[in-house]
Amino acid sequence: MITNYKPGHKLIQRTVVKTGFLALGRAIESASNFEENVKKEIKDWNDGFTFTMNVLPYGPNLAMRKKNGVLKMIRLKKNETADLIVEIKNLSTAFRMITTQMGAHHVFAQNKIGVSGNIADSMRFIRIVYTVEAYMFPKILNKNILKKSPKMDMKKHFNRWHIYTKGMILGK
Amino acid sequence: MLPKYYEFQNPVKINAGMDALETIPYELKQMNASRPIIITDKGITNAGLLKTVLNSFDDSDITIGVVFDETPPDSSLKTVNNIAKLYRKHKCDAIIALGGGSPMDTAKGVNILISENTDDIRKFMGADRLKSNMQPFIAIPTTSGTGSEVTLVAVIYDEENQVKMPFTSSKLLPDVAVLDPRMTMDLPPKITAATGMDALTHAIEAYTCLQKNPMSDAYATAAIKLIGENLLNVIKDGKNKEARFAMANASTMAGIAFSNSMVGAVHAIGHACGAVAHIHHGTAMAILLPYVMEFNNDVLGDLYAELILPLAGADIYAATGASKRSQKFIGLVKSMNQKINELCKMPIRLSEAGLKKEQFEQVAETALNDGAMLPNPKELSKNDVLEVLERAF
Repeated sequence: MITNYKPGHKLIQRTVVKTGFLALGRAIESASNFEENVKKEIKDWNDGFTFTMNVLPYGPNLAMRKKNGVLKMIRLKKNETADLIVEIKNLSTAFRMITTQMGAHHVFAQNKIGVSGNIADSMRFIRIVYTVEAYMFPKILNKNILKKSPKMDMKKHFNRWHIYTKGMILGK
Repeated sequence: MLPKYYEFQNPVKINAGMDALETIPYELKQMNASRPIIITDKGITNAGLLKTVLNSFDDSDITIGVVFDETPPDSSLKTVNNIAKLYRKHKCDAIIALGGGSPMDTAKGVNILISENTDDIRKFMGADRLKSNMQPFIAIPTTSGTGSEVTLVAVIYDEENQVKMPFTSSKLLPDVAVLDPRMTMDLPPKITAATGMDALTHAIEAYTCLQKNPMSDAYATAAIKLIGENLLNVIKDGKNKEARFAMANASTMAGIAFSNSMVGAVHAIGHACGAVAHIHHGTAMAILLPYVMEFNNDVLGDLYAELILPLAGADIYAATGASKRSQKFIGLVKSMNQKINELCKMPIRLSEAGLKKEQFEQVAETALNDGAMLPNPKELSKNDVLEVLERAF
């Protein structure tokens, strides 16, 4: 008989998701400076607008705030809340998302994400993630996570190069 | 093909058919309730439906705590707050929603306020925010379309901030849905048609959108079959009890299907048409459905092809070549719209329904921010929405 069973930890998945969130956050920060679609999506958010994507129950999480017209990664203080809260219901789902096995629309379809906040804001958030993921991953992986891969012209190739170099390293 | 993972839930008890209303006192007692509030609207009172419901309590040991029949066409925060005060003042212990989408959503909002013991419903906006046990809740639909009696969603309008607040939780599902043919018998043909096409859209989108699963498919196809067999008959002859009851069942089954597998771009664009040009929801669904299907056809053609069978039967399915079935299905829906238009003058073009070309941009932008865009399997850009609007205009 097993009693008082304490679940273990998925350290590798946790590390991958944490790293993935950091890369995604940096890429969004960077794209919000120059990428036309991302700039358009955040245009209607007031400075101070905050969103967070949390993995339940213990994290990791990615929190971002609009500051001076662009998005910046932040660390939320204890008891500080966000305008839009996206909660991924377990670590395995977050791992599949971050490793391009599932797109955001699949995760929503499988009811593995909870959202608190305005629906229009959550749609903007998803479009931002789609836009940035299209730069982060090659087309062969994008097929898994995007409904439609965007055509990559010279400008978009330059944007990708920018995100991979300055963006993911410095968030610029 | 089965999805890799899905969730399906429908705990609502369905009491359907002759004298279904008379089962409500027993159901309330089963839930230890004896003093319900009835939430409805003036249209229901004026149509005599409230009286029918009140009469169904005769010779029971239930006391109706209070009847609120001033629900506005769009459920609002102010109304929800006022009803919650009445609920507490009259010491009610259960909620009965009587009507279409607005009284249902309002009742769900009141249930949140009372059950979470709060005076600010806004704290619970979003998905899965409710934690408390809810009040006993019975839903009596008076149209055959919305499916709200079996859905876990409520949308409440916040007048102060001018936003529609969505609430999603399985705790919002009613305990009992009562489908009594007496409740839909006097619906005018145009409303019967529009709400019936709303139910058809629920079923088709549930069968074709990303969250589809074998359980919701079963409800969706059964609903489509009943709609195919009965909608035109019930528009021709509103007193046809059998057809009315079939449509009530179809609407509820389509509601169960889409509550679990969501709806798609027809709803996203239709919601936007409602918000911008105040087009009746069911009418917008009927108009947009074939044009959005044409847009989705290269991705969803195989699924549309399968739906000929429930909508039109085996003969038409067999007589149509495999490569032509999806187009045939879209054609069948268009021809249904045409027949409905001839029978009751329901608009079948957006221009006839009141949309103006200069509103296209606003509709397209609003539609892209609607949550129903996400489960649509094919991505829609703003230009794609504009093209659908142009074709449906």
